[in-house]
Amino acid sequence: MTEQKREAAELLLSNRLFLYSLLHKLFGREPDAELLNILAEKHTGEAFGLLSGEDGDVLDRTATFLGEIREDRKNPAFLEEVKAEYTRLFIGPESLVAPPWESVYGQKDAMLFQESTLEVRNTYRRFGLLPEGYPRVADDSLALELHFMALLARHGLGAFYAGDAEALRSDLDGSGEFLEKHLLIWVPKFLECMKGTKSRVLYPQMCLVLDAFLQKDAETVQELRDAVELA
Amino acid sequence: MAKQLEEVLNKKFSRRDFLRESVAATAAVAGLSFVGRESTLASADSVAPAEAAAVADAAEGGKWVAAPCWHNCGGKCLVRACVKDGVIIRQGTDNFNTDDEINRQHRACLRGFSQQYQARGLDRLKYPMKRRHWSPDDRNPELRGQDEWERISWDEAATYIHDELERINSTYGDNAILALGSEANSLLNKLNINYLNTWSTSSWGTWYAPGPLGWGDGCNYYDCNNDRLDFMNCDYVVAFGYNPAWSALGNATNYAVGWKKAGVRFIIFDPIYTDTTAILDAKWIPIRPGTDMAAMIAMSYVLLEEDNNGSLIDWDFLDRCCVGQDKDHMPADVKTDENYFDYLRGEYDGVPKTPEWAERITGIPADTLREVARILGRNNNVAVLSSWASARTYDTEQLPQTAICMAAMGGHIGKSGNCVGPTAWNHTNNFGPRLVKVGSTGPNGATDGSGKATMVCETQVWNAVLGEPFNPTNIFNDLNDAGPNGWKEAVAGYDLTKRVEYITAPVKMIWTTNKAKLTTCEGAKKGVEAFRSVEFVVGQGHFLTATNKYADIVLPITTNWEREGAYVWEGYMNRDILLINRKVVEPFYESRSDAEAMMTIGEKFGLSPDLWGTVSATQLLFNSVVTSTVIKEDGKTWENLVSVTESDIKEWGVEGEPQEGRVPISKYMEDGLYRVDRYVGDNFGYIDKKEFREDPEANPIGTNSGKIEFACQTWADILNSQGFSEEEYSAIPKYRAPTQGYEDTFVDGNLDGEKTAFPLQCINPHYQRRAHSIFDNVPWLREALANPVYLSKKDAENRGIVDGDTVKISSRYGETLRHAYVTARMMPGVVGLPHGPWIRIDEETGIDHAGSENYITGNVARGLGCSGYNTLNVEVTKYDGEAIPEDVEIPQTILFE
Repeated sequence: MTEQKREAAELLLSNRLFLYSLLHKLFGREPDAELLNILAEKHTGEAFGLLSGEDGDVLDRTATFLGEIREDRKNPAFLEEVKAEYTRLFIGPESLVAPPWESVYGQKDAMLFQESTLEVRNTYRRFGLLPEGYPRVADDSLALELHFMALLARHGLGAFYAGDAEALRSDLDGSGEFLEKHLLIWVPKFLECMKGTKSRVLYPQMCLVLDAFLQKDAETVQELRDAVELA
Repeated sequence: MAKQLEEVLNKKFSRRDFLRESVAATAAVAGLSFVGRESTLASADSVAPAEAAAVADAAEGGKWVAAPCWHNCGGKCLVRACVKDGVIIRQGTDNFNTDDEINRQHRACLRGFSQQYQARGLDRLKYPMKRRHWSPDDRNPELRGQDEWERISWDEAATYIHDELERINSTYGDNAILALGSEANSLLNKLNINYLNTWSTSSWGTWYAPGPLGWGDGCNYYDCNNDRLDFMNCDYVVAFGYNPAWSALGNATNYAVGWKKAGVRFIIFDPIYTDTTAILDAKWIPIRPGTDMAAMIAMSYVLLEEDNNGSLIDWDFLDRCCVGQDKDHMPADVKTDENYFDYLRGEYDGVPKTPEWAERITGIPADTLREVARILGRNNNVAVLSSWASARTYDTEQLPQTAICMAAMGGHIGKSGNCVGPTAWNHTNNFGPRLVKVGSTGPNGATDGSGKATMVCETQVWNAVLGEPFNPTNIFNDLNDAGPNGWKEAVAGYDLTKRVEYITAPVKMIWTTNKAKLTTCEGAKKGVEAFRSVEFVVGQGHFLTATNKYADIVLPITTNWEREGAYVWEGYMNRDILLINRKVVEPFYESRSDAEAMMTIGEKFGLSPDLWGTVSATQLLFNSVVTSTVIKEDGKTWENLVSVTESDIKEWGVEGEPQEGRVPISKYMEDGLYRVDRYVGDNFGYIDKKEFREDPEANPIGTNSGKIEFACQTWADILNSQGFSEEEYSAIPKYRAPTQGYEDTFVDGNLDGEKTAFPLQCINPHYQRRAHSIFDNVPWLREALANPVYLSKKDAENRGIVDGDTVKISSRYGETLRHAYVTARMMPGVVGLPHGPWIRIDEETGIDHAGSENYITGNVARGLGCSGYNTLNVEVTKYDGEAIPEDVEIPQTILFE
């Protein structure tokens, strides 16, 4: 690999670590002011924008959308609205327009803890991982799957710096496979359901961003995988 | 070169700066605090090293765990779950017992098979939640049912509840807290708080307390009819409102089909041509709801009128075994000169109770009543089954007595092929003492406090919350517990000579637990008002039920699948079998058992969890299993149900002794079901009141006189002193036009006059989609069963309604919407609105969209406080608003549309 290409790869690896880490916390916890601050940072918009395919696509427009938060967050009521939206869309206890679990979309019955959940769990196991709440929580929640991607991204970046091509390849393979078999299959369906909400504070829009990001990341992973191969 | 790498290289920006910012941003994200283990992965070794290893070794298959249905439909059937690494990969049922005409497998129905969709449903409560606009300083009670929510921790929830309980109890004193359901009672008791709790006859109707008549209620006391195999000796079964095919499903109907095959003929009085009527090829007698007493009285009249020297009436039985039927057989304790036969003849009111008299009330042709009455004569073997449904009507407090009198006249008591009593979903149509008995858990080491409940009847509870006076008697509830042989002690503490005094209560807090009372109590529209009137509401359960929806704090509770096993209550169960369940999966997210929830809150008051018991749940389960017994072939002696070895005891990790028994404990626990096999002529039969009939002096029944009382002074005294009606009851049963019955569909009750604005009668059949309100949220079942309102062809045509129309059912109390199902199986004038849907109120119009029967029932307290579900006057109209969607199209959980 040329030095230039190495630099570009480093940047992409670092960028996806940031974005997966951010998305994990975005979808995995009730929002707070610090999270809004990170979303409002100029770099965050640029990080999504880096992956934009053409002008005006979702990732290109993300920076503008996130830029609005810079103003919105000054109003204390905004954080309350974001919190309420998060609870309404991802916690309940009322019905969720787009339940954030894979088993809801892949199987014929909308229910937690199905055989597809076991597949996800066993993938985690292959990488020495399990949900902290095992076995009380469903393994295939959006937040857990994003955490899995973030952990692989972190491990992969570490391998990159250590010059461990085999480990990097394994992490990229794992990420690519998980995207293909899981996230890229169900997140588009999840997004379709999410479009059914009338709420438009932060999360429905970020679901759109998530979907676009995942599709682009599948390309990133493939390119990096090939680059490692060439090196 | 690859596209993205190339773009990065071509992009005009400082890659170094971007990378630096990326690292900084990643660090900032890492610095965000994290709550919720549910969103975090960790090293598998740190989470579950042993389990992880074991699962890695597990092959394709899972492990079968016994998980019988615990729900209150009365079926009591076996469910088994195949569990693999905490996931149910399939469900099963009784496929190991033989299945023949006499001994049936106890297979689960569609509800049992959908258990995992309930226990693992998307709408299970996962975390404690608080209403966003409720705080101790700013309560916004009017927002209950429409507010947003926020997640809180168990510790925060327990602190809120502790603070509010303490404040409310110290500020308002006794009865300021209304506990709905039973799960909060243990904590209130240990905190020495006096509180309100509720009772109701919601299932039984006026069969709630027949102890003073010498009969069982059919639930707690179920030896009130003959054994199921003896039913094959009947010539006829004459039944009122008898529909096990919808109410319990499964073997209750199977057994009746067996009787039919043995030659038994069925006559069923019901406003609906039910599936039971169809499958039994029964003679269907359409009857107006709430008028069964009139039909029984008229048939009794025919027996008296047409009897010719004992051609119809069993005079010997009446003479030896009954009192109160005529002036020569009056019991010593009566305060009236009235006897039943003279009432039939019209001596007291000038109205002979002829079939023509009854025809105008019941809608049954007089000749049909004559025909059935002749069948009820002494020369046939007849079982008279009076379902709870026909007694779930206002002003029918003397219906049980009427049924018993009618059967007694034909001598249909105490001999093979003859019996009279209540039936319901319980006990699978199989009566008599249990053949396999639950053992004792032994003491659990719990310590009680001194907090006591004042009981309020559910017909009055919402009004009581709103400050109106209510009848605080608990006598009917005590009678229900005490049964036919214990009622004398139960009434001893009550003054039956004067009317009970009504009281008020300063209710400021509602705590709703294991019973979804807003959905399952009458007058829910007022219930919502009551919920919005208090300062604090706590709800706990599996879901955001229609009741929990109106709470300020909701707590997530485990299902039985997530708890150490236990016996399914034997009070509901077929006498031939004994079911047991074991823990199937770990608790769902942050849910805790009800007892654990109470302990968590109790700890805030400094109460030790040990107050709830010091013996482990596993030890208690073990104790009850090893002391369970099963009857031997002789029908007289008993042996242990299970055998236990030293290694069993070790495996359970409990204290115990090895013992001999019928089956190994490991097999019983794995099967989840033991069945005593029956055959015709076995030693397990049961004939109710057989000894009494043979020698009534030596074997008296539980009445005051020891005989069957056509005049029962005790029952009249109880109703007149403790009851809810102003009018006096006589010791003999008399028909009275029920509140909201057929007569009330006419102006001033004049049957020759004009109809009121509510000209139809509404009944609430049990519906296969639910066990009461349970399972209504399961999409699988919603898809299978649409829950329409049933209208007769004639009533629909008169109103321009066709199948599938959205219609509005209106009563004096509320309005609800449903799709119409137009059918010739419905008696004209009667509307069938299935029981149990979760209320879904449109706040703008105040109309319920779920078809909830309780949103249109009223808070009517009559007689013994009977829940008079099947007496309700309604009108049905085509709805002029937007058509409602099918229930299955509505998002799971509720009210987010």
